Amino acid sequence: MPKIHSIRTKIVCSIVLFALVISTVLVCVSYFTYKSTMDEHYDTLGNNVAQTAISMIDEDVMLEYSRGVAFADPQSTMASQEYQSIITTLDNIKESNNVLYLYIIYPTESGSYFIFDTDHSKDSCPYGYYMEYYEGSFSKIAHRLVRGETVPAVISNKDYGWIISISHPYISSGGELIGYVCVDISMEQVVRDRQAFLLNCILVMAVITVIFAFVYMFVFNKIFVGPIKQMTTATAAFVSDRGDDDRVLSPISLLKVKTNDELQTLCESLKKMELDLNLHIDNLKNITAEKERIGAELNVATHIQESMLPSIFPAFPDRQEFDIYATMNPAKEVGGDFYDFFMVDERHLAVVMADVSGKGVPAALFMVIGKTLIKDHTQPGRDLGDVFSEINNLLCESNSEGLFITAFEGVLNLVTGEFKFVNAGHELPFICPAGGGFESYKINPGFVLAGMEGIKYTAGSMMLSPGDKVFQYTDGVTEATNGDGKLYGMDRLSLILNTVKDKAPGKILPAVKNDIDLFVGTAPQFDDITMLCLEFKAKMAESEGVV
Amino acid sequence: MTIEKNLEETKLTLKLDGRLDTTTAPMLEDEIKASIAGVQKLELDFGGLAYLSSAGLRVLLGAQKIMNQQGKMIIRNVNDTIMEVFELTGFSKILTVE
Repeated sequence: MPKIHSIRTKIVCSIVLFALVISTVLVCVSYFTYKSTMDEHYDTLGNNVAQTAISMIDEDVMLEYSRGVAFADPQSTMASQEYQSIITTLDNIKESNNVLYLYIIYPTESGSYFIFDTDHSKDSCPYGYYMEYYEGSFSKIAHRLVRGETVPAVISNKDYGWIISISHPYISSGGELIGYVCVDISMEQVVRDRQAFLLNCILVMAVITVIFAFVYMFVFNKIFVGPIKQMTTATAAFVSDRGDDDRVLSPISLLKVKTNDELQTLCESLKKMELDLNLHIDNLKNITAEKERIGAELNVATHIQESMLPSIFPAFPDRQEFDIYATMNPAKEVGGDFYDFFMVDERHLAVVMADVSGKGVPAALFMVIGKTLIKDHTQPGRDLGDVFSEINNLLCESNSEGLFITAFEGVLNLVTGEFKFVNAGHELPFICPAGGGFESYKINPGFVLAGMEGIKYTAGSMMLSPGDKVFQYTDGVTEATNGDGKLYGMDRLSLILNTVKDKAPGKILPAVKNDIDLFVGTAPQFDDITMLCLEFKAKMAESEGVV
Repeated sequence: MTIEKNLEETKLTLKLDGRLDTTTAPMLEDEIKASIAGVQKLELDFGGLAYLSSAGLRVLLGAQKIMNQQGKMIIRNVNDTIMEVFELTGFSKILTVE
């Protein structure tokens, strides 16, 4: 599972990011507005200083110095009292206005002549000093300077530091250009001011962002994360805290979310879900209990059914005349197949093989009725046809479900070897004469039991000799189906029977079952598999059977 | 299994395809129960039927009993395997197979 990030963290991060973008934009806008205002301010200041200087120097005196700038002798000019007093005037203006440099020049196309310079350092330019324009700034506006036009302020950061130079033309009343009064104001201060402003802006924005983020985090926590956490804890504890005691209120029912928004709706629907879920769980409990009860009862039914079929072998350990073995493998818990064998009297052995149509409980109940009726009605000396005819009518009376039974019953006279039989729509038996092989024995089939009232069944008869075997089964054997949907069939049954024909019944049936299992493989078993094998071993002495 | 149903006035024809066994027999039973009222002739076409189990026989028996009361039931196109089942179980005696 990927790491869970709190919604709070995500929201705070996005707020900080958003504030950062907004702050940056705001700071930029403020900064540039401030910058242009400041530039304008310094421009105005510079111009004012220049105009003051112009008004303080006599036009005629100025004109004289200007005209002679290129030819006069600097030393003598500068030594004159008049020149020095102008310098002093300019110095005063410079000092009182906090200006870095104040000088007056006469411009030409490539450079300018200095007329007055208030700089008193060793770098000061004397009267008549010619200086070429720096590349860029001044050289760009040189053509305008020579025409005496008003020029914009120039900001430069060269030999004299970071300065803004404002040049104001001094035009004589006759319209002649006398020179330019240049005012250089240190931009170091300006830049410092700008930086201070920028820093202030950023600080204020950061403080506002942090405060906003914290406030938002707190509010968000209260109205959003808190309720969600509450609901998460309550729902996580749903199963563990769901006691059997109804008086204890569950964490979900105790939830209090009063936000008047979707969260409250969610909380209410959680509460409703809990109620529905509890109802559903109770229902499920009851259903499961009921299912378990039915399952247990079905289990009991299976045991009862199993115990109804004789399953202890050898079944008649004291009888030397015959050997009998039978098995049933039910497909579902309770099946519809059954076999039976019992002594009708001392010298008659009855064998029954039957299959109730359908499966499950209805088939099993019907099987019990059928089995009981057959055993009850098979009486010494009674014709088997009559027995089945009567059973059929009795079964029809209690057959609202339309079930029916295919059944085969045979009674072997152990003294004579006569095998009487009746067939109600059941599979034909296999007979194996001593020394011969198993073969399907053709019997005229009667209609199934319980199918229709008033059917007449006719018994048949054949003679068995010692060593003969009878094999009877249900359709679960021949219709066992493998994974490809193929049926086991009569041919395979006949083949395996004849492979093991010489063995005792107790060995023949497991061999057949094993062969069926091999054929079917892992495919599920759809029908009960029931088989019975009887071997007539010796005739009973006539005297023994007489009652 | 699929059932193709055709009802013409009082004659109902059901054409079956596939296997009629424990799992599919209830389908046929429901189909017959739903449509049998007023039917005087019920025809079952087994041309496409590959297999018939005892559960299927039970449904046929139920249908035959109803049709004994209100008309006639005929089964057509029965293959050899299924005919053998009918004969073995004695059903051939009570059903009309054509």
